[in-house]
Amino acid sequence: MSGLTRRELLKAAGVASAAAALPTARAAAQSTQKRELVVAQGGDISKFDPHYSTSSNDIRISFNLFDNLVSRHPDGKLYPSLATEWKLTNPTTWTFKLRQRVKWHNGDAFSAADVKYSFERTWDPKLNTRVSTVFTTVERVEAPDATTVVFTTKKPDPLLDARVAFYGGQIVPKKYVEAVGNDTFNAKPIGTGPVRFVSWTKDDRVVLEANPDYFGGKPDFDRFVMRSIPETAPRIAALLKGEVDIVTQLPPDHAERVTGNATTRVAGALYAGLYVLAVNSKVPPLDNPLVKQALSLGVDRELIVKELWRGRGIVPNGPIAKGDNHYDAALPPLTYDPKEARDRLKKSGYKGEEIVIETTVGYTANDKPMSEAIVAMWRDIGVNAKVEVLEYSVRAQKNRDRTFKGLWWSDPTSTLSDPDGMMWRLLGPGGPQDYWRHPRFDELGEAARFSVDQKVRGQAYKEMTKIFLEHFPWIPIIQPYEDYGLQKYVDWTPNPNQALEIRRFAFKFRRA
Amino acid sequence: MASSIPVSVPADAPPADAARGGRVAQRTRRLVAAGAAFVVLLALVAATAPWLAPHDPVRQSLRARLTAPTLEAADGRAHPLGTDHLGRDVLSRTIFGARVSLVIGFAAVAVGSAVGAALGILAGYRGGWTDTVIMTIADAQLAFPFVLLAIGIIGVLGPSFPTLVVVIGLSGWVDYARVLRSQVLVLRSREFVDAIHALGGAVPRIVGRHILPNVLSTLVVIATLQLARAIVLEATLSFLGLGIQPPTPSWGGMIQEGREYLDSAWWISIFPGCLLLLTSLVVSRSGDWLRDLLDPTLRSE
Repeated sequence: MSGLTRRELLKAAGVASAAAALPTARAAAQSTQKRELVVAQGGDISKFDPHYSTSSNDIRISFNLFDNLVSRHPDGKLYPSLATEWKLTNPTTWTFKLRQRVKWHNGDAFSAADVKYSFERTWDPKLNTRVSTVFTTVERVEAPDATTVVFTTKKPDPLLDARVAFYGGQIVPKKYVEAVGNDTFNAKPIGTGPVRFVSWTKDDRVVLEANPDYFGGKPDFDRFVMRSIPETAPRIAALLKGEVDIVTQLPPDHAERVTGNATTRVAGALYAGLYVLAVNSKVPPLDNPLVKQALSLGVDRELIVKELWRGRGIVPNGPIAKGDNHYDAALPPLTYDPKEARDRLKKSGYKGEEIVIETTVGYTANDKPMSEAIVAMWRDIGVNAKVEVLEYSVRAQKNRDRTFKGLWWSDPTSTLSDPDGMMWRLLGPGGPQDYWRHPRFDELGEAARFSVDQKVRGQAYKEMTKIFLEHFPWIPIIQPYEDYGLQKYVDWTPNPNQALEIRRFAFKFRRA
Repeated sequence: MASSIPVSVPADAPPADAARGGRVAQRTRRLVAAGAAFVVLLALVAATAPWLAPHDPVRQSLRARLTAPTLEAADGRAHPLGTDHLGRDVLSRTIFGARVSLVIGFAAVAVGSAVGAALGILAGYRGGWTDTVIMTIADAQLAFPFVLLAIGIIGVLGPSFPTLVVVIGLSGWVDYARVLRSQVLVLRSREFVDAIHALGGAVPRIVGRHILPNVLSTLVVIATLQLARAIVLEATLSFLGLGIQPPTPSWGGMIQEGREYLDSAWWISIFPGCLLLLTSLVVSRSGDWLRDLLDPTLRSE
């Protein structure tokens, strides 16, 4: 066909020109003299105030404007940040020692009063923050002196250090926020982080500058520009043209173009979380565990991972993401068994009721294609399944009102590297995805949240996984890699929790 | 079809002009016929889609996804126009997509012309406050970007075939209403209407037997222009995910699904895109030609 000939022609031309330019181009590609880091992501910033947003587009900036007491590095472990050391002084008391001589971007001195203020701000009912439920285990925060903060928890909280490391835990300047108010603070944010705010052009770019006095060292650039390029093709084109140094949200189908280019490469991190089909288990026939077991058995996840994701992901084995505490490596990946699925469907008394997947186009990567593929698989086992496409705003509305018809895509993030910050945060009583209750599951979840004994917790999560795999309040589909496209002169490791870590320990330009 | 519509040359036109006008009319008539033939052909393709399409349009084959146009694919099946991101045959989907486009197009035109003509004739014939109310509503709708309204309505009611037909159909009623109203205003004061009135003819009879036949050619021309609009609007809504729901193929939906692969698998979007372009172009040009053919003042120029 003419298409093939044309492509081959182009390829041949590309090879010829690349060969001619090879010696200089390769040397140039591996290093740079750039003093400006440009990153392109798939959407604009909505808020700079870290307590009013948890969206991934926003935290890529807010985790760099602000610091937490403790920081989770790309290796998944916790490291000192604004706190230099911390310990559990008794089962319900955590004591944090703060770093000294830290300055806010406006020159004010950072102190324990800022920390106390920040945490109290998150749960202040008058402020209605987006992170008001992150620290529900905390009874009170005290600042006995300028460099000490003491947390008293309602019951033993084994994960407090992990909780303060993620969203909600960013420390904001008390004096400044109180003086200018929330709106001005959001428009002109001031933090302690490695970059300072310069300007924001809506739907286009955020400009930040390096903080030369940063306690972790000035980052390896003078300016940091975050551009918003929602469409995939132009975002990748910007990388290939050399306009940007890093692109986020690189779909697997497009990775080839980045790896095929002489000056760019792909870097990925296994997502700290899962892509699941959440289930409204209150609606028949989805209130029947046998039906949900059949639905799970009817999905050929390996085919989805291999073809739709080009192998960039793994098949989950339960509700706990790989890399989290208490992930059970011995558990087999969720299996595909259409025959068994048909049997369970028959046993369940399913009478051909319509089962709907409500999907958006792109809220999570590949959501619509996966929905269509899964619906085809379900039809093969005799399920009357159907896809309905929703607008983002309608999805958000249904999520708030809990009015999904059947199944919908969710990408639960493991905020604490622990099941407590994922399945219990979302599926627990009163959580955002509270559509299903099971007394034993609830009892275990509550016990695990407040136990400092990791053995007890491990046992609880094991049993919860068993209950989960019988009732499927989520149907886990894939734990994907989150891929980024990089210039080869960028030396950077992505963070599994979607934060874009540009501090000195994680980001460098290769200099000639 | 088009050639059966009677064409009358005005009696007072000079003979030379009439001859030239006749030649132009001849050419225009052929163009209209060609346009009509294209639509008929498309309708035939749509009607015989199940026999014409080489594959099931919704049958997926994830292992053969994003196959370039080829006569011998890896999975042993020919995909002359390639496969999409789920391994479905683009040719079969394009053929079936014609069904959606034409059915929705014609159904929407039927709804739009019925509503628009009824309101237009009513406004023109009754005049007074009826006219004012109807024309105010028409102006209000024209002042509002319709795609936005459609998104709102479909967002609330949920996308379904009847909703789509009604929404797309109603998007065009204003055009019929405004044009027909002005024609009826003129017709209403003509002697033959007065004569029937004087003879005791009832209003429904006057409208049905004497007004309607006189505005029918106008109605047909507007309907043709609206057909092209309806097809494009359906594609637009499908592109936004508010049209025909997956897996049923529609051209707009296919263009949207292929958009992300424009640089690597161009065949997903290009073929339905070209057909959409061609169809709307041919149909709306045919409407123009038809209007030229039926309009004596334009024809003689």
